[in-house]
Amino acid sequence: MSDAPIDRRVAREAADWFVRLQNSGANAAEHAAGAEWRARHADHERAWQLAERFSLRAQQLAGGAGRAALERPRSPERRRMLKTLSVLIVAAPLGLAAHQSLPWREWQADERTATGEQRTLKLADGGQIRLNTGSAVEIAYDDSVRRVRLIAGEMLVEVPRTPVRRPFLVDTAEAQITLLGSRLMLRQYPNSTYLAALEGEVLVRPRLSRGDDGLMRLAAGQQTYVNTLAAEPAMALAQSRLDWLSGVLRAEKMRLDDFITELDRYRPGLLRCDPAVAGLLISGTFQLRDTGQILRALAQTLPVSVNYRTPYWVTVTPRVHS
Amino acid sequence: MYGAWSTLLECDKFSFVTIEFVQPISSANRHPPQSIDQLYGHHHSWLLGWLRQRLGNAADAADLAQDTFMRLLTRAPDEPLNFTTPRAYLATIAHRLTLNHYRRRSLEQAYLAALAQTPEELAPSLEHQALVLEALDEIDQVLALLPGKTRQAFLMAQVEGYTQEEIASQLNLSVRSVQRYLARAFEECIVLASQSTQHE
Repeated sequence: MSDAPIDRRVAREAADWFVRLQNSGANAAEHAAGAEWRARHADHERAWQLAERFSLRAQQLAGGAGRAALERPRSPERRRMLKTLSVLIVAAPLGLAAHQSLPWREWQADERTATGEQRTLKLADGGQIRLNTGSAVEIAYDDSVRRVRLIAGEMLVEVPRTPVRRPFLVDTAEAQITLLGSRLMLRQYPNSTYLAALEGEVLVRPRLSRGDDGLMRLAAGQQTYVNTLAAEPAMALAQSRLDWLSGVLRAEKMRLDDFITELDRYRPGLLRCDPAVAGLLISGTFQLRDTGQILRALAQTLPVSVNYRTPYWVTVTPRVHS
Repeated sequence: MYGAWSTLLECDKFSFVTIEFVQPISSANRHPPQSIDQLYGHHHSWLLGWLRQRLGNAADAADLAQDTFMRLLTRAPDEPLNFTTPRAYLATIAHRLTLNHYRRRSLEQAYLAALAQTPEELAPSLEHQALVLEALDEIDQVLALLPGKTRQAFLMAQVEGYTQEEIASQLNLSVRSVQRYLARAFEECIVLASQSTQHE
């Protein structure tokens, strides 16, 4: 089949409709609205069909040995498996092993920012999380541990200095990070996590490292990138990493294609750079609040044209002399 | 043997940043691979060793190393390959396949154990068992992605046939919360199913 994977947003909407309409209390108007949603796009219908097929398959397993198999206890299995795989830390500092081996708990919050949006979340311990554009986090606080998972994007965590008894942990796709100080910045890239310790130390554990192999301590004022096996050697924090916190994008002899890629994070729709002008260098400080203004400034300072096919489809190309 | 090489971080938008990597590598690996062939040539034996060390089982390790490269060859057309950090990339895929392998094995064992409890005259044929296992596997994959309460709500609604109101009162939740849990489960179903139909 040549069908593309269904976008998670569509899947979420379809799931929402499906579950609401499965409820016997759903009225005719809701059913009509659901049908209208399905008809709006081929992917909506496709997502709906997948949910329906899945639901039918599950019902066929009612009773019998199948259900028992699905309900087999999982956490012991998971713990056993982790042991087999030796993913678990042998000697965890601060006695964190117990928390780290716990299966995923129910996440209490699921917070997101839209493209171009920045937002501050208040945390139960008086701390806060600043989310940059297009970001998502899940937060789970309880009496023994404070856990945050960065799913996408970029965030600054500021919490009261960590009491040893109630550690603050951050999970990303590549690593588990323990905050020993009080300020930490992270960004999720496609195959790695960027992190910077702004105040106090940070302990980094790549997900697939064994024992203490990949363990790294990042001192205040240092940054690194981590993949699933190892963290790169720590480097001094690049101050430009903090620019988004003041709502600006600063460039110093930055290649135009890199600049456009960065700007694209903050602007809804497609923003592309023609390879013919990709190598032009740009310097300056730009207010992210108005990406249209930044694009106008580009056309004034570089030999490029900014072409709007629509407000959501913009290409930067060589300027044509008329 | 320990070596060092410089690599451009593909993930970093500021591509002028050059990072020094230090990790055990053979001299053949100083230059990142350009194709799956080269990835295989340079890193297959490393992956095999990595898996063997973790699994303590040479046969499973060999199978899973092979599966890892099969996964790359049969990936979706728009899924990019990551050649900049090849070992972390291979390890990540191999780890996911390993978890899946053990999940599937424990599912089979639990199913067979439950079958052994049912009276012989009610036991399904081998062919039927295989079909049930396929269906179970599909659902089990989704359940593995869900946290405890969500999984429980989903099993109650879909497999045991409870209404949303019944689940709400049994789990001491609001109906709206139950709906949120169920929607989360169906979201994973849809995403997973739409990815797997790609390879059919």
